[in-house]
Amino acid sequence: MKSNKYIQNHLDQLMNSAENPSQLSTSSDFEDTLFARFDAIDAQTKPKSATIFSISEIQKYAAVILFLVLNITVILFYTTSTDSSDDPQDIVSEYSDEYFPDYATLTSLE
Amino acid sequence: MEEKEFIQKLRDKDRNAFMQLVREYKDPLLNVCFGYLKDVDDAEDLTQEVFTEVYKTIGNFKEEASLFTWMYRIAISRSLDELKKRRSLKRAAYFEKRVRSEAAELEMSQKVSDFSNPEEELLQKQQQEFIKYCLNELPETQRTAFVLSQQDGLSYKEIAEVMEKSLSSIESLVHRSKQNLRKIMEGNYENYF
Repeated sequence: MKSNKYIQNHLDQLMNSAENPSQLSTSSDFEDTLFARFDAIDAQTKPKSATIFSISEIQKYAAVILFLVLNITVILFYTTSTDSSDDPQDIVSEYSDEYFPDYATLTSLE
Repeated sequence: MEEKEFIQKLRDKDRNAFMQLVREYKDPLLNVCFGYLKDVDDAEDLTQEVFTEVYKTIGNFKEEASLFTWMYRIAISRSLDELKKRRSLKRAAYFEKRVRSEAAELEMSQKVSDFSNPEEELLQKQQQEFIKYCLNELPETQRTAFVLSQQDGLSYKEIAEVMEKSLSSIESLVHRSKQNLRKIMEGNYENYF
C-alpha cells in the first residue's frame, strides 16, 4: 500500500512532466519528404496545356477563301446538275392521264 | 521582410519562402500535434499534413489573423479531427499496431542500451500513457489551452489569438486545465500504479 505522501509526490512529478514535456524535433528527412509532397501537388495542379498551332495572317485569309470557294463550288455543282430535262408540259399530261382519264375509258367501264 | 511581402511569396509558391516557413515552424507545430496525439510518428505525419494544407490553401488566406495564428489553428483543428476519427472508428487494428510497435520499440531500446533498467523504462512508458489518458479526459478548450501553454515562447496573448478568446479567459482556462488535470490524475492514479 502506497502512502498518501508518496502518491502526492508522484502526482506532483507527473503534473510536472505533463506541464513541461520535452520539446521534440522533426526527423532529418522531414523537409525532403515535405518538399516531395509539394512537388506532387504542383504536378497535379499544373494546368494541362494543349498543343497550339499558330498560323500567319495570310494563311488565315487563304483558309477562309478556300473554305468559301469550296462551298460555292458545291452549291453550284448541285444547282447545275439537277435534272432539268423534264418538260413541265409532260409532267402535267402524265398526271392528268392518271387522275383524269378520258371519256372513252370512263364510258367503257360502265 | 514584412509579413505581407512574405505571404505574397508563399502565394507565388516561392520555394525559398516555404523553406523559411518550414524551418521556423516545423518544431513548434510538431510539439502542438504531439501535445494532442502523444505519438511522435503520428505527430510528424500530421505536421506534414499541416504544411501541405498551408501550401495548398495559402491563396485563400485572408490575412485576418497572422500567418502563425492561422497555422496553429490548422494544426489544432487537424489534431482534434484526428483524435475524433480515432475515437469514432475505435480502430482495433490501430491499437494493435501501436501495442506491437511499442513492444518492438521497448525491445529495441533494451537491446541498444544494455545498461538501462527495463523496469524503469516500463514505468516511464506507464507514466506517459497515464498522462496521455488524463489529458484526453480534459474538455477540448482546456486541453487546447494546456497544450499551447506548454509551447516554448508562446505567450498567453498569442494563445488568445489562436483560440479567439480574451487574454483573461485564456489565463483562467490554463489555470482550470491544470486544476482539472490534477483532479483527473488523482481519480485515476490507483488504476494505473
